[in-house]
Amino acid sequence: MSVQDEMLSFPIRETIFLSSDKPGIEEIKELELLPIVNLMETPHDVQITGSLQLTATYAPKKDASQETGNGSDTLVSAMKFSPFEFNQGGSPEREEGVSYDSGDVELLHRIPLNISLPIEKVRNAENVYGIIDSLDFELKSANHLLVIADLKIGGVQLNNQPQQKVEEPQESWEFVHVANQDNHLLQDDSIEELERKLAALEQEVDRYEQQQEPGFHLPPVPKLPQAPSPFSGYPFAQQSHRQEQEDPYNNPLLNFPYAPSQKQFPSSNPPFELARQQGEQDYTDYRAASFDLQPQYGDLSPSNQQIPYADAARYMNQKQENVEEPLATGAYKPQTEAYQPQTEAYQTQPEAFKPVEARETELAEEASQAVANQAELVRGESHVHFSPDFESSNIIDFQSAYDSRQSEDTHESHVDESHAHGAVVREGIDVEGLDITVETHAEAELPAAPTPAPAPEKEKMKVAISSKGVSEKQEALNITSLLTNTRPTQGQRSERGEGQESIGHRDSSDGYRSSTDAVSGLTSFVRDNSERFSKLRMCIIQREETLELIAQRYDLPISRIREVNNLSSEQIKEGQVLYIPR
Amino acid sequence: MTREHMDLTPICQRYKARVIRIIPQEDYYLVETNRGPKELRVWPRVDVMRWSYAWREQMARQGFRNVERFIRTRDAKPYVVSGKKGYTMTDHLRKVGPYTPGMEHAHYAGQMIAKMHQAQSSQSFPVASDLLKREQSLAVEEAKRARHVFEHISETPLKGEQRHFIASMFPPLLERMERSAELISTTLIPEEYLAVSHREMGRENWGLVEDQLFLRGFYRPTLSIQHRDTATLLRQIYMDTQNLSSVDAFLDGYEENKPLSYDEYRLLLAFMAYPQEVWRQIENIVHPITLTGEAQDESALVQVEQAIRRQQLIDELLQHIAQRAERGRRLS
Repeated sequence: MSVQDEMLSFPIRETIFLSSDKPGIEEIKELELLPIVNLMETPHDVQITGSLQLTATYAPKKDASQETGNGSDTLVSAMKFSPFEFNQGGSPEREEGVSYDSGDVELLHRIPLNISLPIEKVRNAENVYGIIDSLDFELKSANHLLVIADLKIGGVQLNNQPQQKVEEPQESWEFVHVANQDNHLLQDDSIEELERKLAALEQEVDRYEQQQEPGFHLPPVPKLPQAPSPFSGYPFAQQSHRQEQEDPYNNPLLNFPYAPSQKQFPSSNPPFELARQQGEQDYTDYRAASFDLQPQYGDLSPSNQQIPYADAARYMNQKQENVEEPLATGAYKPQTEAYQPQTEAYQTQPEAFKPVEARETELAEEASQAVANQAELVRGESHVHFSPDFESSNIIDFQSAYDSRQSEDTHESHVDESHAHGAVVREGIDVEGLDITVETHAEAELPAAPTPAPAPEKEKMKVAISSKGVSEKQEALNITSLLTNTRPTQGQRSERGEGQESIGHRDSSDGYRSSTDAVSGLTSFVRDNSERFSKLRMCIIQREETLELIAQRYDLPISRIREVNNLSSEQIKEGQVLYIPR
Repeated sequence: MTREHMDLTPICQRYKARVIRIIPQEDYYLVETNRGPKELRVWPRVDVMRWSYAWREQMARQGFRNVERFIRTRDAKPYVVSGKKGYTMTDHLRKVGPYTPGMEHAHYAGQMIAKMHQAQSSQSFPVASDLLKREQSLAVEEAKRARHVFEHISETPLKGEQRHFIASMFPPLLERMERSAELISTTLIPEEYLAVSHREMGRENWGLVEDQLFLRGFYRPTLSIQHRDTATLLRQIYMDTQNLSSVDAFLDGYEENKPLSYDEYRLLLAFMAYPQEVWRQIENIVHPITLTGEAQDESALVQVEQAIRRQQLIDELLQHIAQRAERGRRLS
């Protein structure tokens, strides 16, 4: 699966084997792949189920047996029919069917489909659609077809794509906290700004200590623990929040839970002291500054992203004119999502950190501007050097940011914490992170056992096993048949005598053959081809003709004529048929 | 059917038996005589009667005497011809009902039918080729008619489900009818080897007399090309027994006396493939619809379904016989 043009793309390669009883493919004339799918929405995902209907029309390959003129390939294939559909109201669609017309052959094939999309990736299931792209085929052999296509699913919300922009300039940011609400608003400062502020705070702390009575010593600032990886949670957040509420001063963790490493803060007294003296806003500023990390800069992929220094400085110059030091490498890890709840917890601390109302408005404005600048930073218009010491390049040099803070008025160092975190760019979810399940089942037809090619038809030797000639020959040797059929005249007479005898028939003395019987062509069912025929002439008696006259005419004795015609007397009638022997 | 009044007394007097009573039955006259009950039948076609007598006699001469033969008259005639009609008298077999040859009798039945076909082939009946043409044209015309009906039914307004059901029956039905017509029309059997036989043969033509198979009937047959009767018998055997072994046994017995060529198998399958029953049932539904446009009740559809299920059995039988034919073809 891949992502193309903001659509999920699934390559499809379907192999189709034709069974042996189906004609081979000579040429593909039409090929169509139609997705027939249904969407099913569950609490966890959206399932796309159905099938891809492949319809093809091809010219069958004619083999030698077909060229002989037979109507079908084999009898087995000829006796294969499409089944009847029983369901009333069902469609007579066939999954696969081949017609054996003399023309093109139709092929139907179904590819089951089952795709699951996480529900959070689909805003509206009705907008999900699928299309077939890049349909192609390859005819490996007469019975082997390979279909290649791409199934693209659109309407799916895809994040963290290279083409997709995380922030757009016209996007409006919704700020959770209003500037006048509380004092924990942190101005979204750049690194240099934060460092400057930090430096300013340190200076103020030093001055304060000098003013303090001797003997008072603030507890040393404990070393910060090693900062975790950029994208790991920050374990101390919650705990420090609770302790902060209880006893902000005595909570050692509250001192510098998120403070940078010592090397960034050579002064021993971090801004905590200042925060204690000057209120919550500085401390939270410090804390927020330490949290002013990656999310504000969007998706800071390692190594390559650099925010131009000039723009950060430009922002810092809004508060202080001199941007003296470049951004030093800092030990701060970029703020991750894990920071958010912690910082949000800070947002709910009203009493310990009451901001100066007059400054809050300014800070809110600065924060909004900082957000805008951050947006610019994300787009790569500003460059920030990141420390190579950390895993991620999303490292913000805190020193300069702290210095920038320190150079400002303390009350100005309000940072809209909400901005810091409202500006957190929602992290995109990689495509690889999508819980997408794709199941594609190929209904490939396994080639059937190859039927042996029909033996080439030999020249037909027509052996008439039960031919009439053979049987008649056998019959000729049969005594019974000899008795019944050998003598043609006698046999025919006996047969006809059996068949002709009927009540009301003419008297047999007048001749058993009537004109009707003579004309009838269905009287010789038992005619034997081996019978010997004698040639006879027929004579139809005319008016006033006598037997003597006829005998004279044909130069035959009367007795001969009487014998042949079986006449008992010499009386003949008009219309009577006499057979005259030669 | 009104039966024409005919005087059978002179005919009965031709026979040696003394007639006690004549009782008209559905297709024959039951004649009570002093020599037992007899069946007197009237043949509208004398030529067919003679042909029927001839093959019976030939079978008897060849040793197959378990076939009904005509009783001879006083003057040793096997039949009586009177008024352009023929009359035959046979023994009336009591307690003999229709019988389907099962496994134990299938082989012998095949032998008998083969002998009958051989006997029929020896009789010269000049209309064999005409009968083949008639079968070909009949198959083609029925297929065309079915297609026409299908096109018409598609345009007839019906209930959605029923119309869909009926319309869905036609494509496979037409496929079978057209395939059958094609195979019959392209038969490769030479004309001189064509022979006449009966068009139908079924369980009514068989009886069991003293545990012996008896061939009977064929008194008012419609003639056709040989193997059409075998096709109907094989379909019936398989539907009654649903056992392909019975079919194999029948064909084995048949081929012992009269081997079947590939073309004969092809013709046999062509006759068997024709979906006669399904088409008849669908016609019963479609015809009223085309007249009145009203849908039929469920009982008619149930009968169609039953016919289709039987046709599915026939499809299995067709495949089996086709494979048998192909095996024989490879061996030859």
